[in-house]
Amino acid sequence: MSGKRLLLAAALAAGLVASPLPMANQVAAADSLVTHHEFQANCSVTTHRPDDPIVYPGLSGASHMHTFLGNTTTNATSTLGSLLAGGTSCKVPDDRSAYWFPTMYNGNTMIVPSGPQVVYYKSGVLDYTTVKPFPQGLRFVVGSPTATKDEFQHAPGAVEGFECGDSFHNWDFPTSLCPAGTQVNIRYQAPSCWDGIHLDSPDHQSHLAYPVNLVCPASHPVPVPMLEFKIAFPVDGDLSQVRLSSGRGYSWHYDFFNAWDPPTLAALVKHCINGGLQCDARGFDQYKPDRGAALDEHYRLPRA
Amino acid sequence: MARPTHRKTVGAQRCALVGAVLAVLLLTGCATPAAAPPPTPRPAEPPPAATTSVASGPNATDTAWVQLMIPMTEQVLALLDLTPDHGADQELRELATRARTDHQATLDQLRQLRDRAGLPTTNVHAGHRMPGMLTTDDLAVLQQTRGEDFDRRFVAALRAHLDQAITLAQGEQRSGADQDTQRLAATVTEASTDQRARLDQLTGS
Repeated sequence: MSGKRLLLAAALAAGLVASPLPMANQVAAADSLVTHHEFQANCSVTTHRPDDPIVYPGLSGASHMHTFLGNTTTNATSTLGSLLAGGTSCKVPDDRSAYWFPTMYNGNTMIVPSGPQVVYYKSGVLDYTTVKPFPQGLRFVVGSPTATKDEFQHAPGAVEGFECGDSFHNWDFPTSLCPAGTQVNIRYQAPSCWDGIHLDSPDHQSHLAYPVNLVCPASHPVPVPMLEFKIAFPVDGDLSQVRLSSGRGYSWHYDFFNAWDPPTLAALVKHCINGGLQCDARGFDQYKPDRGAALDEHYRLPRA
Repeated sequence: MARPTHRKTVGAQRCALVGAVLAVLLLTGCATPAAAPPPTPRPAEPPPAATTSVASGPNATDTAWVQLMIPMTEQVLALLDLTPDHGADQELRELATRARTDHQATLDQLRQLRDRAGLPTTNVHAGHRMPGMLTTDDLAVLQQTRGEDFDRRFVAALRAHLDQAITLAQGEQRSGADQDTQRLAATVTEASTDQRARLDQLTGS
């Protein structure tokens, strides 16, 4: 984090030096400025199961309860083959990936995210033009169900912890009352540098790494899309009885099993991440409509 | 700016923006990294549940089953330990005594499998709410309960445990790879099914 702050400070200092630039030039250049390099997967909840095909493959009921998004068939025995034969709750029909995270409860009532949730696909490295799609079958776990509060807060994937209303940076569920009608949101970023070889690893994490100073380390040289789950849980008021199936808020973690159609994923990565756009699930940036969309009106890749 | 910047902009985006505006002026920080080599995907580890190897040792399913069954069995043993002093029904107490012997033998074998595979003794499910697994809070309540109230809770807890143990053991028998682990799972399936039937018999359900 301090590295980023330093860069910002350096940029501000440089900006003062640069101030004599004519204002008109800055305005003219604004439309071509790259401020984002991302697209979204918008996928709604499919089911809840005590299954985890990455950590406890083949063993139904072996996990704490998970809430699943995306592929409609995900269970303990899921493989790439079974996922590719399944349906999806994502807006893009050719995204059959499985996304899941621990189920939230308020007391004993399950809190089910409503409607499409946002999974960002971003650049985790400075040079967003080098990000490549990850291969089918790549799977990993982000974060740790056994993390302490301190580990959760200082994890490289931490963004702002849990938030509701105006309360941010909570590293467990907010202890103040969440205003009526607000939701509890969590964002957490995945590592985005791949070793280029393994689709999985014994701890389901070490085949990926977080960038170091916005560059992929030599051990994990391939920049792939950085997932950022943004999940909204419809619960407000007193959160004292809110928990995850894996424990306290700081046990937050999530899993991803890639079952995208490769050409569709490649088109979105190229157009939105490499192309420096802020795309929706169709690969369209509403602020730069002239750049067009990666997918057609049915969220499918136009094919010749 | 042509549009509102996202409030939660990450450093990467901030840096890229600055880089675009001040490309020449800014000599430190936002250096362009060398292009990474192209990805060469190679599924070095096929999905463990799908492997068909016979004598290649434990797969991920074997490991998961052993690591889950150890805490599950430890917790149910704590329940079975309470039954002679807390329970009212003589036949339920006898069932608990027999089940205790079975579960202790299972636990001993599970620990041997764990140690043979070089797995840590850590409970990977600590603090989680797991189907069929008694929590420390559940046991604390049972500790304070006696007589028919205890019997009622005992039956519900043992039934949930046995049902889950059967589900898990069948999963191990289907998807495991290690023959010793699969053999133990078959024993657990059989013993749990017997105990489940006896429980139904005693409770008339």
